[in-house]
Amino acid sequence: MVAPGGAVRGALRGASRWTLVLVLLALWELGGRTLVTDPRTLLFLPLPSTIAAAAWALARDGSLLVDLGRSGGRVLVGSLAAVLVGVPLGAVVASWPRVGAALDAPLRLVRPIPPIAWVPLTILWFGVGELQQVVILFFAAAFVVMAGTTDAVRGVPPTLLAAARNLGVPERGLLLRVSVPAALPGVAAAVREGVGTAWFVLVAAEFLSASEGLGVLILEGRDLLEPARTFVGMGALAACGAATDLALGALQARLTRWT
Amino acid sequence: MSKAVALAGVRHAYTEAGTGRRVEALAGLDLNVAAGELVAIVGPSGCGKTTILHLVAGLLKPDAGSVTCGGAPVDGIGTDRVLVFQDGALFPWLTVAENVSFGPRARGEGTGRTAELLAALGLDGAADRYPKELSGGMRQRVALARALAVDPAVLLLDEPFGALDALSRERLQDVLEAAWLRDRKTMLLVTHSVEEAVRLADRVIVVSPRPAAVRADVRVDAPRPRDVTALGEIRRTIAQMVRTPE
Repeated sequence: MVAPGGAVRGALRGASRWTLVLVLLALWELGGRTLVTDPRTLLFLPLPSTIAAAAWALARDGSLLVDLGRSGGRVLVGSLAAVLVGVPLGAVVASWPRVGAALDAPLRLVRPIPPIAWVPLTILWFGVGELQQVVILFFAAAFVVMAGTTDAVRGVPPTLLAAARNLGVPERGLLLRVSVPAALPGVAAAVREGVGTAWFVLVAAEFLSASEGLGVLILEGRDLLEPARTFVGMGALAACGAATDLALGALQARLTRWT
Repeated sequence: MSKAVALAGVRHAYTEAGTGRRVEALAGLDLNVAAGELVAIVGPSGCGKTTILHLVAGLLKPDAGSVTCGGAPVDGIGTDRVLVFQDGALFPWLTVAENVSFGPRARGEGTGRTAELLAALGLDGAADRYPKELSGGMRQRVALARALAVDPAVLLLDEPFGALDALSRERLQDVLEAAWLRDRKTMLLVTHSVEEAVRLADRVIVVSPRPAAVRADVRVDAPRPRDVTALGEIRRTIAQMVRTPE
């Protein structure tokens, strides 16, 4: 149980974490208002207040929500697919050395190909659309999730398996009673990293073949000569990436309280 | 008295990781342990003491000779012979109580004697804690309780207190002795501490450097609880044998 005083302290600590961000934004605003007189500079390097106004306008006409929904949906579906494929595949590679050895060479060759290099082919195969976007994010996240899962399962201490067998767990019971819980912290970390990678790759994928999304919003700033839009898109990405990571971190801490 | 554990002419060699050399750990070892006896095995480090325990536990197979437990040949791992690892090998995702009840639960027997063992080993205040929150001494208490919970015929202890500070070590020796006096389980204790061996064991087996063979079999007849300072001579004799190569 956390005492009420502790909750308040925790909230304060949470708030103080963002103090420097707020101070820097304030300095940017004040510095811009006092030192910059050329309106062209303010166009290309807009002040926080201008960006906030642009964000408000985009929020009111609903387009920011559409972009957020598109991008968030792509990351969500791509990451989910990556977890569904990457975790079992990583576990199989770690548990069956012969499968691992057979897959080693192909994975070594495919893995260095940047996910974005798949864009032309995926457009030819799936056409321009959500599926193609999701496939790119899936590629990006699946390798990360799979590699992390392989490491986690390989890292299960052999003495824990021996101890469990010694205490009466039959061979077929070891997976659920020992391997899964022992590998869980590593797998959770790999999933978190995979989702982070999906957010990272998202913008490039959207630059190349999307009509809506935060990547598109970022490009519009250039096309419409409204750099504030670009800043809004970048800020939204930062917020989404940080929020997803914080949420997954909290979930991870809950699932692996013992670590 | 019946033989709880018997090794006869046991040979065991393993391939050293890295160099790929064959290393002979045991070259024809004979060892008998009576039911209810507490036997300590001492010897220089790396002499193959742990190999003896792993053979009895069924983690390893002998290249030649026989290993029997209660008259039946040892065939693989079994709950009649439970090994307590040096680091405890506790399951970090389970609480103290869940670790102790792991064996009974794995066999569908509910929590078994968990409550009783937690109390007997001074763990009832820590029942809901996770292993990472425990001191080294507490962890080894949990490891001991977890092994006793499956009620094995033979308890195998692989330097269980080797990583503890002197004070915790003495306390744990008392805990182990109390558990032995209560249940009179057959115990095979591997240790590098001659003092610990003399303090706890009915018999101390001194093994030679690799390949391990029995160099001496010393009966300790002092009443319990023992005062090790009064056992100076037997300690010196054993320590001398451990130190000097033949």
